[in-house]
Amino acid sequence: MKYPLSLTVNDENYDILVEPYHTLMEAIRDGIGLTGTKCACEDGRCGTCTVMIEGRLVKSCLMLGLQANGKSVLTIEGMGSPDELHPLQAAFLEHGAVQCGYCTPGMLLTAKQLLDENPNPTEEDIRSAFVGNLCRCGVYTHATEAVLSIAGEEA
Amino acid sequence: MNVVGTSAKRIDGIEKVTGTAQFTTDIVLPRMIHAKLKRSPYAHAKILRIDTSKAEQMAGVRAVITAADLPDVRLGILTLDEHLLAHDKTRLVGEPVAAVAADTPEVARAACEQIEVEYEELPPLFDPEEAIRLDPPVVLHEAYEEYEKLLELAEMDKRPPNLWQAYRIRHGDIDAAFKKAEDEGGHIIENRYATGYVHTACMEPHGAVAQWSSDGTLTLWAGGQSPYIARDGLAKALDLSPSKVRVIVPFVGGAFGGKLTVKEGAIAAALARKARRPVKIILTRAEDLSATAARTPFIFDIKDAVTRDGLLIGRKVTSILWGGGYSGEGILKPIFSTHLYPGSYRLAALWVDSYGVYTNRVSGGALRGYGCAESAWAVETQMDIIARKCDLDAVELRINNLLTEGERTAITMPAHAFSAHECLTKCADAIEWETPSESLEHPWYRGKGIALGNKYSFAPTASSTELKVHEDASCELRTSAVDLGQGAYTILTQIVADEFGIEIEKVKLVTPDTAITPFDHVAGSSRQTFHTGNATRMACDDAKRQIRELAAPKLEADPDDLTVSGGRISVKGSPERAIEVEDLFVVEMLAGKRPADVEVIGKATWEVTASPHDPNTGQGEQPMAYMGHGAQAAEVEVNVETGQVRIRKFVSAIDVGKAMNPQGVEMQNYGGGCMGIGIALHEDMCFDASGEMTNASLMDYKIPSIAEMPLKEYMESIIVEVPHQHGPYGAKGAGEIVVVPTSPAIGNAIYDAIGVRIWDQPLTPEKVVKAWKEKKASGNGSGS
Repeated sequence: MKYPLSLTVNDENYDILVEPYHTLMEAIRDGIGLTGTKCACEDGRCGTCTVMIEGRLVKSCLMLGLQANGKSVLTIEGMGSPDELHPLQAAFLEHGAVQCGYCTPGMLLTAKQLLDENPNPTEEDIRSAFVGNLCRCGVYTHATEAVLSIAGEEA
Repeated sequence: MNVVGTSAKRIDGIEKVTGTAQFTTDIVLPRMIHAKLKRSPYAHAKILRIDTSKAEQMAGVRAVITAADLPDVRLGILTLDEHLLAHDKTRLVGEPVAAVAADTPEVARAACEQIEVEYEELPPLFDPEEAIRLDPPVVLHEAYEEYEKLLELAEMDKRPPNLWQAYRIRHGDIDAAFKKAEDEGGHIIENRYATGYVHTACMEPHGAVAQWSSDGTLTLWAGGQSPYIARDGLAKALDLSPSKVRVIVPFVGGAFGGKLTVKEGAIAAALARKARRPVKIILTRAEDLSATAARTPFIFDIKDAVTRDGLLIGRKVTSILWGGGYSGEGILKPIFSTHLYPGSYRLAALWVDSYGVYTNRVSGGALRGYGCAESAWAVETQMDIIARKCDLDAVELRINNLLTEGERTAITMPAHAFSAHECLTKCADAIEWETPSESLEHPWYRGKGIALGNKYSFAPTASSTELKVHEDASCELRTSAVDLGQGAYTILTQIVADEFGIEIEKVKLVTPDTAITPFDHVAGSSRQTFHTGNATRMACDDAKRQIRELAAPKLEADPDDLTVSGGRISVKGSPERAIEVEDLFVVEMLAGKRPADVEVIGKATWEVTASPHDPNTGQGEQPMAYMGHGAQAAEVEVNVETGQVRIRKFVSAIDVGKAMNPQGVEMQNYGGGCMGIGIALHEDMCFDASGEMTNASLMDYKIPSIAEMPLKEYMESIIVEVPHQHGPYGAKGAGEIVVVPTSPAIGNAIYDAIGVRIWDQPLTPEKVVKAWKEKKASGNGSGS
């Protein structure tokens, strides 16, 4: 039986119905139709489904949709738009931190949360932040350069 | 306008950073339902009975299929040995035996559990050396002789019943070489190497969406490497004409060789036909890792004859590719892996016997480097051992043995654009090869290692493209080359911009769709820049020829005297005599003016033919399109108490002929190195005694995270540019060579650090500790 779920995603309100076993990732992708949040591992290791809930990073495959009821969620679609990229999105492109692009949304949200908390991270800080995001194309070095390139700026 | 050679930003980048790029997993169609597979729990079993009645009666279930619902055809790349759904037997754990489509994935999964399959267990066969015996304990394919085969095996008196590939190289007088080494104070160096079980583990799992139209046409969306291989495979599996199959490739979340065929897509299509609804199938991570093709292990027995001065004069290799239940996409690996036995080296005598065998494990597939990344492990570790034996520097030894430009290799192809020397020396300089690593405090030890590598690009092969010029002088390239993340779309766009002298923003790319875009063989074997790049240039030439012919009467000039650039057509030598490309397109049909020949579509096919090598001698004129070169070096830190190996510094120097997009090359250098580090040190599919994979999750099958990578100041990418005579702008591919030398470079560095050899990948902490303890116990180094 489906239950009502009320979410604010990227400043828009959604009232949807979800099964109690649906994860937040499924609620966002299948219930709301925002597919920028990806699924790759289903067990929390890879970080492709990373979103922000009220300023905190959440791997949305590890949280049930109903647990997020009433919460405010930021997904990759809310981070910037094609016309107005977030500085991190622009930096990822500039520094070659995007290959296949499947892990990119999760890495960008992870980087955003890092800079929100620590506008001047060191390389070690960045490595600690990215350790929960897997990328098979291996963009790690370029992603590190991208984050460092805008460290200290207003993000 | 020089766009080629610049680090133009990737044209698909905005979509990818904003989450708007649509991958197969993101596709939703009206009335779409979801498929799940019922898989075999046994590695080897007869199927006695399948009862789907309970599943069919479940609410929400729309279709259930078994082999009985499919055409009785066997599929495969060159040996057709595999049914889409298991027929009479299953030959690996996880082989699909039935499939369900239901309203939700959960219902489909529950319905799979309600399908009853009665098996008769058969003894499984896992050991490749047992499998290759003439009298093996188990035979997997009793009807092998009846299978359709498109490739000739080397002749043999009697084929071992589990053998699916045999290839030989017979070059020079091998016995004389070993005798010479023996008689003249040289060395004979013989070792056994093995590679591990590795999975592509793409971030986007395998999947597809299938939909039938009322006219009986199938449309399949699947993030594969070749829409045309997919189309033909679907047509064969479902007994359709290829013209009734349309394959559209959305964005692809990584492939690395693992997405050459679309087996699960064909199953989804069969379900969709039965359910009369669009069907989506997305494999779970566990299914993806345990039941899609893997880079299965090789065993290499390699014996080298070397003069006292360290010149390689003879090499004898026997290798077995540990295949799985079906020959799969690994079918050519026992052949292509042999390209590295001469590799970049002069070899007067080479004698190779290379085999592939069936076992009841996951089928062998492609993974970045297709055979070369595996044989490099043996060859380049061997070179390090030879150097130490001859008391020569490992770089110097390699240089002394290198071929020269134009010289024929032991597999008869002349070396061309031969850059091994430059790659090797630039790599050595960057790692400060002459300076030994600093000593650290026990239990940490530091050391450096280096290795060369090659990657062929296969032939025969072809790529076609079409180039449409629009009224606003913008260009539209239609290609079936797939961007898997490697940047193909950006590079092809750069070529068009360059050829037409226009800004990159004025080039639009029509992405792979067999209803629209022309044939391209495959996004594999490092072939997109080389082959599709050539086809793109030629299509641009064809379109420009058409434009010149349209413009000639207007400019009262000979077409050959015109040039097309920057949206203008002008007369050579008199640039003031010019018209705009858009002037060609003035069409006023309603005013009664006849439409001009306004459809400018350039077309071209680039083809590389090849003479297949004799499977009994490995000799022939041209077995490949081109041979790439590269070298990598690593400095490692080894903890002999925990066995941990940290990569402190990593250098990758590869020859791309011409760096079409230098940042793109750097991304391959770093990304390939990252994957190579994982393969060398910790990636390992593990199986229990029943043949089931025991670490089928990204938590347990460990691909590298950022923690395994060196700090960025210790990562170095070097671009070597030795132009190839047939490459577009001289370019060669970069996608695979970057993972070929990584493992031996790391293994050689471990030896340099702690004096032990580990012969079988991956070089895990357990093996490091064990080798160190053995060395301490024996009082010297193991192996060399």
